[in-house]
Amino acid sequence: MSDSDEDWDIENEEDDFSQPIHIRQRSFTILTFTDMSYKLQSLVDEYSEMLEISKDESLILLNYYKWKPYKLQEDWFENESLIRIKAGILEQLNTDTTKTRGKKLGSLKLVKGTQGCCQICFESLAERDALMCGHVFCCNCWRSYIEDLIRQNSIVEATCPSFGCMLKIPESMVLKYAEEEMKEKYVKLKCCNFITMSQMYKFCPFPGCEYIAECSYMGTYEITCNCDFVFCFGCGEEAHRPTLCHTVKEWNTKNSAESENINWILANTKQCPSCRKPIEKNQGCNHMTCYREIGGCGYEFCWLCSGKWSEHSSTTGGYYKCNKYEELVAKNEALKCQETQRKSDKTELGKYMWYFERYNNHSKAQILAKDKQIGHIEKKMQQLHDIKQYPIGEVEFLKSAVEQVIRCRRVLKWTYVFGYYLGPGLEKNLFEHLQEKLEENTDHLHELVEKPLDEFLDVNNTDKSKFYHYKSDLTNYFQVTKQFFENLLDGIENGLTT
Amino acid sequence: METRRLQKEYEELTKLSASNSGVRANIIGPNMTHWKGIINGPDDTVYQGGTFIIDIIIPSEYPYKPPKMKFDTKIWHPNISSQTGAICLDILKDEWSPALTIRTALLSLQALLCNPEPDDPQDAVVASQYKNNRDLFNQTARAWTQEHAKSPEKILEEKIKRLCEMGFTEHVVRKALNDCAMDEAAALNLILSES
Ligand SMILES: [Zn+2]
Ligand SMILES: [Zn+2]
Ligand SMILES: [Zn+2]
Ligand SMILES: [Zn+2]
Repeated sequence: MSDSDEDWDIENEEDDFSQPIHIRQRSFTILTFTDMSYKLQSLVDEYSEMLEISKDESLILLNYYKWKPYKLQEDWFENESLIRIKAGILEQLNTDTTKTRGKKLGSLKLVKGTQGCCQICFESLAERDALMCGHVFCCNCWRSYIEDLIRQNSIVEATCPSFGCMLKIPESMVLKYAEEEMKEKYVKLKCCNFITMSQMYKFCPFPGCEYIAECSYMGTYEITCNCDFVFCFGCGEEAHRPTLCHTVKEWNTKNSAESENINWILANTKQCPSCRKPIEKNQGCNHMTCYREIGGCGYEFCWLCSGKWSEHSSTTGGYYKCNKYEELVAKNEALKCQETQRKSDKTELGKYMWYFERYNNHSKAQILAKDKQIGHIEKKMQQLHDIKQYPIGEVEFLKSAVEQVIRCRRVLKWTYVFGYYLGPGLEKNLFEHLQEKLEENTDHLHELVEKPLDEFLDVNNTDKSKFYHYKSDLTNYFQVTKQFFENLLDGIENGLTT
Repeated sequence: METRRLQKEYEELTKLSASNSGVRANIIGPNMTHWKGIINGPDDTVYQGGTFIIDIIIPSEYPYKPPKMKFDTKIWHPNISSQTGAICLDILKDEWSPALTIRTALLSLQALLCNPEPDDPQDAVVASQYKNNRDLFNQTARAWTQEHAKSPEKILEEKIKRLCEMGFTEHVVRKALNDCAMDEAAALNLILSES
């Protein structure tokens, strides 16, 4: 490729705090592969007409310009024949261009005895074909060559098989020789190249998802795919507000560098207070069960204070907080020291571990809610409808609440990354206050949606007031949480202290 | 893989090697996937007089993929690893074209011996010597050529000479070497056990 490729890339706009993300929100569109191939074709047609060239040539030029047509247009009118040669739609006539070792060899005489034969199979040319450069090969070899290029995923930029010839293989040639199945793969490759090159499109990163997002903004920006996955258009990772793309990258790099320490955290187990069997904390919440299925005793306890879970309720702080533990910490000087020391650990590793642990807990709670709770709540909604004849619209709030919990967990997760990189000061105090508020409310909402709904499914109980009471409670918390959710993101993205 | 094409390439190469272009090749083993190329060190270079053996593996996608080539013979050259014989040459990588052949690849290796490209090196030590101390480079490359790149005929001659110097007749030595697949030590044992 040419030497000046780099200056075509538009510098990625720096993430800018002065412009809040929710205000600079631009609309995005979710497209299918078929949509994309139409889009590609219409661009090809457009430039074919505008530059008065064939569609084959238009496609080669757009590929050569990495689908940045404005640059093509500019260069084209300045020096058309130079662009034709560079892009490989016109043969270079004078051969004294940049000399490469390969070109030097081009002056060596090829094997004498094969003149009049196909230069690939060395058979006599029965059916022959050539591009405009006139390098003739037999039709069989054209077919094998083109299909091999498709198989190797290198068809898009491929040139004439003759050594040193820079002429690109036009699409019509590909379609002429490739078999049906190969043609399909070719179209896929062509579209993939278009999507990857063009900065307006991104593949949904969810494994197996084939949707493509179209968006005109290139920084940290959240896309909700038709598959429900929420991802960042800027970096193609899972959505990570309020953290910026480059911070996410830094954090992920740090995590892989610290993987040994992380393993230590993850392997950090406690013994069951009743039977002493080691138990791993593998959920976000504090409710621990020493499972009988894996040889435990069935004892249920609180992760933080190790007390019986039956003595815990919303009055002790619920699933995610333990007032008992906090009282314990308050009373026990040693524990208190340990906790305060951990939070304000002066060592870099200690600080990192503190933040990672919390990041990881929210992450686990998020995954769990997404993988298990959504399905569970949908089942319950169906039962409420089937058994108690609630209209589906009346029970939808349950799913909305779980979805809100998932969103909150995701944002909370990333606030710990944001917090890790945020220096101390007024801003940090304010941020931590907002974070704490959201955490508190999310925990409560999470606890409410985890409530077993069986009492509302009792056919003998015709009194629906309890259910409606629960509903208004949950809806209320949903609203409150949503408010804190937005406050936090607004606060961070608009600047905390401005 | 195109065995027909390989067969033709081999015939072509054998025919043309007679007309003295300084490159030859032999097929090793029953199928056509393993070759040994032989190139003569070009005249007026530090490799003059040397015979270099190239190991050639034909990939199954040949000729759409380039043949894998490396030097069996140790050589002091900026674009060839002095340790492994690996070659840095564009036409054996991205610049390969199915219209090229094993012969053209060997010819371009020969051209590479004439024109090293120290700015695109395979062996950094050799390349820096080539750039910064050409006299020492020339000296080393010549010494390596004499030491490692002897022709098979020359090697045989030397073996015969050494054994004859031990007091055996040339006839006996040649016969013993022949019986022992040119292995010098084995031939000596054979001669000693027979006398
Ligand atoms: Zn052919
Ligand atoms: Zn051509
Ligand atoms: Zn998706
Ligand atoms: Zn991002």
